[in-house]
Amino acid sequence: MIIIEKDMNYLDSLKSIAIKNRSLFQVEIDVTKKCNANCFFCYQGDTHIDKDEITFEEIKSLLKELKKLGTYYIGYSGGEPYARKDFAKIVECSKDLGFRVSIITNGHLMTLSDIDNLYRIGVERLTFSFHSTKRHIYNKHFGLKKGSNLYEKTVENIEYAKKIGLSVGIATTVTKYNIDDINDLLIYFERIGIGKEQINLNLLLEGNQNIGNYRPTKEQLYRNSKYFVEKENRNGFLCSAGIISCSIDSQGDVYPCTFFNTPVGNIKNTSLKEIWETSHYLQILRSIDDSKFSKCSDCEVKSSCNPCFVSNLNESGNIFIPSKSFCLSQVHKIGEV
Amino acid sequence: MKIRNNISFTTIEENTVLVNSITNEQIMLDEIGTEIWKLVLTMNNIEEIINFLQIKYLGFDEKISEDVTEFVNMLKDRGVLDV
Repeated sequence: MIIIEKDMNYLDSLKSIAIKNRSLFQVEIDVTKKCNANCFFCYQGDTHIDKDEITFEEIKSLLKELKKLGTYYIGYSGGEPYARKDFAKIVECSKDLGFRVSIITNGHLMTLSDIDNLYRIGVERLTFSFHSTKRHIYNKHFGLKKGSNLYEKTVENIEYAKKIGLSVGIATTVTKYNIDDINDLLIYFERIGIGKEQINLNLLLEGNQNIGNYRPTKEQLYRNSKYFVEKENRNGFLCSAGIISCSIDSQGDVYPCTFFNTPVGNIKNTSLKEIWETSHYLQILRSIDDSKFSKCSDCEVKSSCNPCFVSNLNESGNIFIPSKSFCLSQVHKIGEV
Repeated sequence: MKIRNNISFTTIEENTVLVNSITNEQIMLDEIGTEIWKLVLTMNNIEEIINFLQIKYLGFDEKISEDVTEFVNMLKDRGVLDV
């Protein structure tokens, strides 16, 4: 009835079953488009409106359906999730149903009492978007005015979350403005007990939103390449979008992942089960295998690389061909591109 | 019975994995364990679960009572349930 073997990763076994069965194991839910900040690299652009936002009851019913489908991970994001007044209620409902819950927030709108609440209900991961320990660079990334005190407030929130025992992560979008300050950022977080393994440095890739100009230069990448250590790709060469994961936006539109532009259905008028099982678009994604990526077949870093269909399409015009920028961002290849 | 808030879980193909986010311990339940687990999620106490299964599987009263009690105690010992 109960099987326990020390150090056995049963979750990985279950994930393998999910991959084989195309079960929806992981879902990201953007609960709102509303946001107090205005990041220049935001994939949502500057359209922080709340038109037709999914209601708490719709989310609750979605969560119950996800539980039946075998979903384990729920990631909440936005917009800024705490711009939504009932967000704490949404998280509590998710935890009551037994999901593993992670949240990405900019930390600007949450209070210490919100953090206490996340700890009380057992949220597994709280990740703060945090782009620099230099206030003016921090403000520049979030589009904040000079006199803003949100930097101090966020630092207080991060330190408090860490102090009370929450699992805290940091997500840093690396641009040409902050890449040379990564060391300071790592030192600061190390000092408060957040090691570099808890910090995701996400290089800004070129795309369709005129963000290419903000990418670090080739020289900056060379100079800072030691911070982008090669990680083993536990999920394999192809990403899980549409295979075992999907994204749902605040209007109820379902996407293979957050970065796809075309929805495959909407949960307000179709059950997620039906969308997941019958979408023609998802079936096409699931038919893709490594062999389609002919440019990558002989690449020496294929085992640690995870090219993104959407970035490929935006940058090279072909979903099977990573752009030069992407290959450059796989830092061990710098110099070959 | 109450599932502790540091426990997350999912069931796929009648296999259930429970994860303790504090200790990182993972527990796998087989088909029988999963059947009892689903009752733990919906019923209030151990007697209710035993009664339900004794009606479903007639003639195995003692075995069902022993197995369910052992199952619940093990989950309690592992920090999954407060009983």
